[in-house]
Amino acid sequence: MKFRILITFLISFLSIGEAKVDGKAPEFSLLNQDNEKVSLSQFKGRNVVLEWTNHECPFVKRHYETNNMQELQKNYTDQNVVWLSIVSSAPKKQGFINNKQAKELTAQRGAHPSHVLIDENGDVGRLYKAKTTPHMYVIDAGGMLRYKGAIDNLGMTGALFNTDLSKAKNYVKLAMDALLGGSDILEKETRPYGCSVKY
Amino acid sequence: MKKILLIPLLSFFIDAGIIKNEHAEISIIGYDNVINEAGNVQLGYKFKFTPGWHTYWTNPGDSGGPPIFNYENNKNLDVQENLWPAPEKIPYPPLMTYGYKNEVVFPFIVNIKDLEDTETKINVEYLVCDEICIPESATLSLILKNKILNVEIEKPLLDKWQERVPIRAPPEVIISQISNEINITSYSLRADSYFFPDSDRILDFSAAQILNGNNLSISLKDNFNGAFKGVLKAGNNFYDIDKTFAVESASLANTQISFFTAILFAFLGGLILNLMPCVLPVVALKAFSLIKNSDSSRLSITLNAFSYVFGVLFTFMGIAGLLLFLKSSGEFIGWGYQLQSPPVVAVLSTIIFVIGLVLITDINLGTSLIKLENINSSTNLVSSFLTGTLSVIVASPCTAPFMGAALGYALFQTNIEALLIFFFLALGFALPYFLIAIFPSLAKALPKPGAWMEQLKQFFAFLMFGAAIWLLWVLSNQVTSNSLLSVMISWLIASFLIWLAGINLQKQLKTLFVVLVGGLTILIVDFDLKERESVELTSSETWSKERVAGLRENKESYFINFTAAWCITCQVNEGIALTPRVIAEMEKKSITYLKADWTNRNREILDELKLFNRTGIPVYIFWREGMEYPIILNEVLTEQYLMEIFNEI
Repeated sequence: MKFRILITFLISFLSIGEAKVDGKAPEFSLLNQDNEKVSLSQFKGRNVVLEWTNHECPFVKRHYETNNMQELQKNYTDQNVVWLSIVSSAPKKQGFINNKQAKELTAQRGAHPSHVLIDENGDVGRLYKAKTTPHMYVIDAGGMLRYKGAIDNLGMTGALFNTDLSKAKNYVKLAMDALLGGSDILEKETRPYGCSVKY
Repeated sequence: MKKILLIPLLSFFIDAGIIKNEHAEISIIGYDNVINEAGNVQLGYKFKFTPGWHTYWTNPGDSGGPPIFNYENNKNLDVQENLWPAPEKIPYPPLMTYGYKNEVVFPFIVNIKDLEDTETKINVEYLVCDEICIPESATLSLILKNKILNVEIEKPLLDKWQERVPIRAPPEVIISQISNEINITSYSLRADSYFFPDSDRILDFSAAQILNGNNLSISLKDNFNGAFKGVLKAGNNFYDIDKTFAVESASLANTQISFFTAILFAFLGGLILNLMPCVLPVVALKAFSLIKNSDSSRLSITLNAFSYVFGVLFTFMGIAGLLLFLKSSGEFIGWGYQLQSPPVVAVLSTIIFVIGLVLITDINLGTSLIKLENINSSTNLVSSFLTGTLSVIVASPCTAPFMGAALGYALFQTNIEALLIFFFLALGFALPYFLIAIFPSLAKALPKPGAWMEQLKQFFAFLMFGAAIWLLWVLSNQVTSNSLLSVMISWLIASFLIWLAGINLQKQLKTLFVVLVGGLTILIVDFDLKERESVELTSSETWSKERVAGLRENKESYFINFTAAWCITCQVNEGIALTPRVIAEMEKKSITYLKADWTNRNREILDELKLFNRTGIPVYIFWREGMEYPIILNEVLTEQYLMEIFNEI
């Protein structure tokens, strides 16, 4: 069994350029809300959260209307974590925003991302195989991907209706707290849910 | 007749309760709305979407979510859980979702206890999507009043969706796994056939499913947990699929590995080979000699370690060269071939037995192969080289479990690729000494010499005896008992000679003894190892191509077990899975059990294996009437797995 784990590890280690948990997070550069180039590698030494978002998607709306996402952003950016909200909607599709709209949206929602990144041709989304909004990724200070998947355990349709978000098991919070506290992340990969990314 | 006339009239008077939301109209439909007696009534939730819009199946695919139905607890009008008709693919490249476009009916049953007037509420929460998604909800009222239910009568529509509710797959549908692929075989497969998985741990939703004749092949995800569940669309049929596979075989028993993976397997396999019971003692002895001599010069340690490494590389490449030479001359042989030759097994078992004796008696055998410890003489470079050779020779019976896949792969490649794979195998095997050769100071880091070395050495002797017994057993399956006797006599002579070497006698006397023993040996032992006719003890028949063809002609099912005494996995499978219970089941289902015993070399068996793209065993084949091609079963068998396969008849 250990032998298999070793092999799996070696193979995953060597397959560069794929967003695999416990593998190297693929490098990317995008323009942010101020039209400045932002690269993943410039945050080496800090933990990074990637949040795939689409402000018109009902699943995303739920997390912003309940202030759930903003609180997460504030909590971790206060602890020197880099929070990157990435918009992979293609132009004219739902959720597409330009850098000016990105700034307005952040102000209007009281959000706390370190950067809002515009991925209008979807390259970074495809690189990370982002499927839904929200779809969350946690990268550690060494640039290794440590979590990918859903924001919480509400899953699919249930997340849109009566369930109280505060009762949900928030996977991003669990992963970040484990990372900051130096313990092991127990759930490293979950099934993402939400609207499809509008590539 | 009367009733039919009545129905439209009555339904006119009741409120069918259609809910109109922005993108969907929801209502409850049925075959009839007049309820004359208590019992189950078949109904359905009907969704009519804005044209082009859709909602999702239980597994929505890459995004979205299925509708959620919440019902009140009403004992008189007990609403049962709804069924999920098979969905259609709704692709949004690069994503794939599963759902229902334009319209869907989810059939469900309501159990009516008595005919008194009553009402129950059903709350529906759902996503309705085009390119974008909108969450909507509705509260439906199901009312029974004057023995009439407030449902719309839509018989054809309800029938249409009932037909999409998956049913049990007929035995004709066969699902098998070959490494990281699932093959679904069925006559009803068509170009639009598709397997809708019920979870995200089976396949990549957006990956193509390839239809080839009657065979739909599906690539599994890395995190496949063995549960292959979902719905198969086969023509106009929808089948429930629920099959469990052993997970191990998904990744390790892999004959279609990449060149790079093969090299990695070979290298790691080589490294692990050092720990095999028949190899460890030889390798450990080499390590002991390094420990004892860790004070000697760095150069001496480096040279010795290198000699050993060269011995290993040289021997491995020699074996590889021989294999490839035989292959090029048309003598195609599979891995494990060396154990198919009784003389090789006989000699190997004797060598291993003798090493065991040397270990336990602590006799130094002069300048022979087994002079492993003394590192000071000028001949010690040669001896290190020969130790390398010896360790490869004793390792050869142990290769299969770890390197079978890589070596099987190697034999299908060009010579250069095959040699590279063998080279990495050798490199992995020699790695510990290679490191010492480069960093001689590592030898000093090994534990201090002491009495423990002697005890450990003696303990290792038992590993060798164990390995020797195993080889003797392999041999006992290959040759007659008289030939086996000759091998055991050679063990006796070998132990006598070792005893002789250790005692204090005049040289002439010793020589006389050797000559006498040698002469006796020639007289007594007939080294012509006679191959045994295979004898079958179980209810299986001996495999032959003709027998298989005959069975197929008569449309009789068969199960073939390609096995050999030297194949450990085969023995384990036979012990665990091919139990009397399973064999009885085969008899009950009139499945002919054929055994192809590859313990001895057999061209016909090898050719058959090649047809299945295999060069090694175990291989298990199953065929029954209705299948165009026989299927290859998992390499790791369980009783339950076989029972399921056989029970599909």
